[in-house]
Amino acid sequence: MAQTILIVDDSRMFRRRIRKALEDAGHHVIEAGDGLEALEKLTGTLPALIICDLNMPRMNGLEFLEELQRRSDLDIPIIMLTAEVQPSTINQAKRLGAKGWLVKPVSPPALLNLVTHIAQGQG
Amino acid sequence: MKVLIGGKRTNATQAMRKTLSSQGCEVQESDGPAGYLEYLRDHPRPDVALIVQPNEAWMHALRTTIEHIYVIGLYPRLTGRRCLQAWNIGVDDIAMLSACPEEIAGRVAALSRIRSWVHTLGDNFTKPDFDPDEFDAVRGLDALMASSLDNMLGTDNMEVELLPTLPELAYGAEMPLLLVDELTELSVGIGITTAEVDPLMVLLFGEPEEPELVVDSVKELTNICGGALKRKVLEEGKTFSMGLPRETTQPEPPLLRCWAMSSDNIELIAWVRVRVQQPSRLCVENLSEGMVLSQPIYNNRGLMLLPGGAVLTERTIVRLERWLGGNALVEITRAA
Repeated sequence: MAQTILIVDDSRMFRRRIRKALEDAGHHVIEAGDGLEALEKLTGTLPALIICDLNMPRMNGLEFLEELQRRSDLDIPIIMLTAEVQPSTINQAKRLGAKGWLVKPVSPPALLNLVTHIAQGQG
Repeated sequence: MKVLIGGKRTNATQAMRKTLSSQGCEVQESDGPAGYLEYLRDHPRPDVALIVQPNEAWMHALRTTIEHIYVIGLYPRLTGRRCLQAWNIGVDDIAMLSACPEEIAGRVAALSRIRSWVHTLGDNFTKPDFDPDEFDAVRGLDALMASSLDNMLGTDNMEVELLPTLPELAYGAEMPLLLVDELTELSVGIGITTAEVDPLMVLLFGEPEEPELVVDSVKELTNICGGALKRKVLEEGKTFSMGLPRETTQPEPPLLRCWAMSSDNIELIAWVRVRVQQPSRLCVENLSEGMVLSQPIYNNRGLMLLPGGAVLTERTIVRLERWLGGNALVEITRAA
């Protein structure tokens, strides 16, 4: 099922590659370069899913999760996609509502599997 | 003492090996710099290296560790020219290859005595705060980076070649990884020469791209390699704080190591460098993004607001200003 997905990552290269994989699978993609820009994007469109990096300038992934947690009107599943796997950070992200965690570089099939899984409410 | 005997094996080097072993030294042998570097991946570095006619390649290999390895050059004949050449490439001492093995063992024993004496001055004098080569992840960093790049770029088993110096780069970036308690910053970098710009873009996007996207791509490759190192070091019980990747084509010396990583269609340059980062105290209003907290920050009720090792973002700085005021002093390590 086609979904609107928001990708939040400061790397244009990464956004472009993820966008391609998701669009090839029929999804609609919107992009933001950091947490602040993502919050701005959320005032216009409500995506079905957010894929979010951790280390970003201005507002990082955990700070973005905190902001979303404060906004009761935004109940959107989030997958963290990052180069890190520090257990304390993963736990913190889970506490803040992250539904999945993928490590960069991620293969398109692994990403699409998780997207489908979470979109179907199995996250 | 751990002693390396390097170069062509001769009767003279075998006699030295026997004599040194009989005096309690751990002796290893290697016929060339490549073999030595291979050995170094899984074994501790030697304290002393006896090298038959050392050249620049040997010296480069022996200088890829932080702690100094004392090098004694062994020559069939000692001429003025040979001595000058040894001096110029950084050999610490010279001897005749035909020297009596006991004399060589005597020099090694003298070094051992100096070392013991220096150790009486305490660990702080002799030990670096952090020795990256204690970590398997750092010793095997070239393979780790090559494999991360393979995964990202879809290349197959990148070949790795140790380079004596960094070539001129068109684009480059490095990721600072901080060990706050050890006051150490280890940076991994990725760069490309002018000739490789279009091949990299074609590999990533199918066509040449604008410079801004090249910079972004190199930063992301660095981020992925930094993340791989962080994950691997975590398995060995240490946690790096990862900063944000920064653009650079001329990383500050000294470089610990640099490599060419190549497959059929691309060659990337990778490097690692280490430096001591003394913490400094700054007013909250002077903080900037990418800096790392050296100490946790507590409020006046003792509740931890931010942990040591936290990487500052614009947002974190705004919050710190709100919590503590702009004039409050915060101890940070400059990662950016």
